[in-house]
Amino acid sequence: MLFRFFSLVACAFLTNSVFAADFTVALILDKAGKDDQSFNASAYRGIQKAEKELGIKFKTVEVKDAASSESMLRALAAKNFDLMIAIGFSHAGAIGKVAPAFPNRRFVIVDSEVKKPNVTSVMFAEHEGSFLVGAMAAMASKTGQVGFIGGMDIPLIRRFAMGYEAGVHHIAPKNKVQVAYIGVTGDAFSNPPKAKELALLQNSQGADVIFHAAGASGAGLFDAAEDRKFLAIGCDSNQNGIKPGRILTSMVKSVDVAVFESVKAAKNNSLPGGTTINHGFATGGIDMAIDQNNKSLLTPAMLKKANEIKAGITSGKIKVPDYYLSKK
Amino acid sequence: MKIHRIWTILKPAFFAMVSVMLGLLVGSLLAMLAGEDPIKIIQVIISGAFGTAHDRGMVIYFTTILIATGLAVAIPFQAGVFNIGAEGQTLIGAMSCALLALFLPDALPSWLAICLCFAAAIIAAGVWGGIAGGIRAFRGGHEVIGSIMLNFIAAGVTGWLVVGKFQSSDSQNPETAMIPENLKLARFEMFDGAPATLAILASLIAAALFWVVIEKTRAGFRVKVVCQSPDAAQVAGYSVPQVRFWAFFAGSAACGLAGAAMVLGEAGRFRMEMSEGFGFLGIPVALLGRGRPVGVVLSAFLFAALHHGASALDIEATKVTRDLAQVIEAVVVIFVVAQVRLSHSRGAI
Amino acid sequence: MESTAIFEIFLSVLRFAAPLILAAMAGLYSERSGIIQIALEGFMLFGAFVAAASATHFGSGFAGLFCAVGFGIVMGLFYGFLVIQLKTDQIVSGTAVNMLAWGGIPVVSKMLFDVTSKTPAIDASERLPQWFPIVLALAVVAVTYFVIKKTPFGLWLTVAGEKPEALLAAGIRPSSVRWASLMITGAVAGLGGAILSVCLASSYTRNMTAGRGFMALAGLILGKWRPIQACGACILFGVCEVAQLKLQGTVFPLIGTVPGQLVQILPYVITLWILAGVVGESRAPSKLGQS
Repeated sequence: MLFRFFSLVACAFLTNSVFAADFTVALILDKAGKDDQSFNASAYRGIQKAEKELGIKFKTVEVKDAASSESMLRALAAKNFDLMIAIGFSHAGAIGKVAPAFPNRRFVIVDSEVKKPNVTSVMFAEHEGSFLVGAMAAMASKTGQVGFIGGMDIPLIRRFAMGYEAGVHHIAPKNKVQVAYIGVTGDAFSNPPKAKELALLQNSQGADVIFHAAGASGAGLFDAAEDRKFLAIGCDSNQNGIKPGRILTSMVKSVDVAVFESVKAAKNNSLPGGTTINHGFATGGIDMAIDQNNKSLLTPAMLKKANEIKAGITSGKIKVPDYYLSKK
Repeated sequence: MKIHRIWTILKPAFFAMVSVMLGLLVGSLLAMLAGEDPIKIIQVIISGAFGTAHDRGMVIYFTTILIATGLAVAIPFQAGVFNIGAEGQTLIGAMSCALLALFLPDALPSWLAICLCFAAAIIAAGVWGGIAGGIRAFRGGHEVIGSIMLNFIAAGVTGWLVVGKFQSSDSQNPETAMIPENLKLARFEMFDGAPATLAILASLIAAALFWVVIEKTRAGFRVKVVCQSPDAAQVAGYSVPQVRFWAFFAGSAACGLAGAAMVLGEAGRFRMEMSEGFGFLGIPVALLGRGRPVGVVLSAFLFAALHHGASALDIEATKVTRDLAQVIEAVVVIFVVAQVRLSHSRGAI
Repeated sequence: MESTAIFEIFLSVLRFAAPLILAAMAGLYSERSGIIQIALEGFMLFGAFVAAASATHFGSGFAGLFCAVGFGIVMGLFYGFLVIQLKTDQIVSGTAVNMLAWGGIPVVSKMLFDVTSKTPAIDASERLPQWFPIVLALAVVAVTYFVIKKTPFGLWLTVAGEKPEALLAAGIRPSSVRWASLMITGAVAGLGGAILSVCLASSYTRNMTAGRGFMALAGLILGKWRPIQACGACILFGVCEVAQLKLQGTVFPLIGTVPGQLVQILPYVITLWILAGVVGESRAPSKLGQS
């Protein structure tokens, strides 16, 4: 018995990583997982595209909590993965610790800035996109009240809320915006029942267009919109198709493109380390989704206004308040 | 020594090994059902736990914590009370430790400050658990229910403190600011940056202390009498409530060690929900270790290895995840509990 | 407008409370018969997962409920095998069942859907209506009240938990009563989990019960092991949940904003007080945990 045990240990040390020759990428998602139809799902689409078009190999892991994020990253780095892409702010601390320990590995973090020579940070101008959908919400609202449901009350989500409110008031300065957050832990991003209750409450108080920045919890908002026949606005991925006709539009954060581009750059050895890549309307990294699912919901006046706002923000004529800057 | 005497000592260890083997067997069968090679799964878990220096360090770190939460269950058990609140006690201990670390004056020598932080964690955790122990001992309210309620309350109170009062301004996660560098426990260099620190010593000392008190002191004798027969204890003039309360207090206090190891040794700050799952893991640890100090240490090591080793499944396996470890743990518990037939009201562990 | 808003809030409270009420009623059967029920959390989580998975498979929410009840009975029997047949410690066995749910469901979910965190969404046409969980929960309370007060089985339950010898003298085996009560517990707790995934949400998400099983236990004690009172206690939990949502960001004169976390823990504090006998009195079935 004992001998068997030791031979097992010996074998275990001999097993090598399965993919030795290929360019290998590890995609580290947060606890909502690749099927959240939102933020993580977008990242997963990006890596799938890279697998198909660039011929890379990849491994996806879901990390449940901040503590295991560090040991997971370390294990992946030790396992000869060429590039590690961490999706979400919750990995920021872990990347900051692990990246210096593996100077020959490359890391990408989305939604947070980590200033290390082998880390590329990817940031999105969420406030600009939220401003745009806020304006759309104000134009689509009949009651003069709109809502916002955030996952957690943290700076990232406040940035969405602040941009959204400014967008609403850009169109209708007197309109009321109801802002609510689901919870105080990471679970808030995967708690659809609570999002649904919040949406129903906001709707009963008069909000007829509600925007979410709550990852997988957004599903609860869509369920509520369907039950009570009001409009919802999707987030991160193009979510228009989840409930066609009930989703006014989606604020798209092209995490998929960012993932794909960074894999491509890393493979060609041209990924700029130690820098931050900012995505906004100008780069196309932020946009609002228009497809056959929501065509009938968006009036020509709204489309015209959307283009005006995008041009205005890009040229600097419209100033969108940024929570990150307002805090400093 | 006679054969049967050796057997009485080795029997629990033998049955523990059998339970663990059966647990692994069920786990690998489940993995096979999922389409994985069961032998490979076991290999992955073992190499995940001991493959690199960093892995070994992580196992030491988790052992540190699990000894503490294991003792939290094992010590009250000696007096026939069941502590299911290690989760909340660890949170409270960690929070007190982090807050004290943040607000201690810089002028204090590091060793003193660290000792104070440990003391704060231990006392706070003990007092927190003592609420449930006191309700049981002096007012008769069931300690299991009490400690579950205290788990919820601890989560709420620490959540409010961290988000509402002490949220780190440069972090998106719900966590406090970093404690000063000089209060962080030095990590053993040989483990490649893993949070293996001298905190392991604190846990081992706690286990040793537990042994000494139970086996060598009058207080320990009282505890045993209260456990075996509360009526006899009353006749002998012992205060059953007092003994129960202090056993519960001492057990909960052990969680303070876990909290301090997390804050000073690993995270360097309080992080919301940082005790996630370790408190509950204390129950199988204590159970597999038959509530004995040596047993708790050994089973803490075993569960730590399983816990850390299984995280390699996320990377190396395609059809199963680290969650398999929890199934194995559950199966081990079921097998052990089926053998022991322990009933805490009778205290025959 | 105002009255509909209040009505909305009322419904919202009841929707929050419904899974808790079901789980508390489930716990009531087993605890009254003398068996501590720590495993409610696990039973509910299994129910939520089985319901969502089978609702997707069969394309019907009712099929989901049905399967969750069936699986709940199986789990009740399994728990009974441990604590009645093998006479193992009830708290440890209950914890083991919970661990089995926490670890086992992601493993099975990975096998079936290749993801641990979420099952595929159930179409709105197949989801059960919003009022369904409320009506179901209240109906179960009514039935439980009737069973406990008016039927011989209710009497046996209570005697099994208080004076099993008396039951034996009357020619009824306490263990048989407990087997039956555990089957009911499994079924009803499974139902409580099921409505969470197929009515109140549209899929199972990882660890979606989030402690509701333990909350229900608190509700049961707060309600002194009586159906109507336990239901009331669970509604109190719902009130605190909704209050926490409603009070967000509201600034009160003098107090400022009310921290949601502290509002949410209110019911647990009350339960603890009652446990300590500070307010009211809550007496457990005397053979609880000793059978």
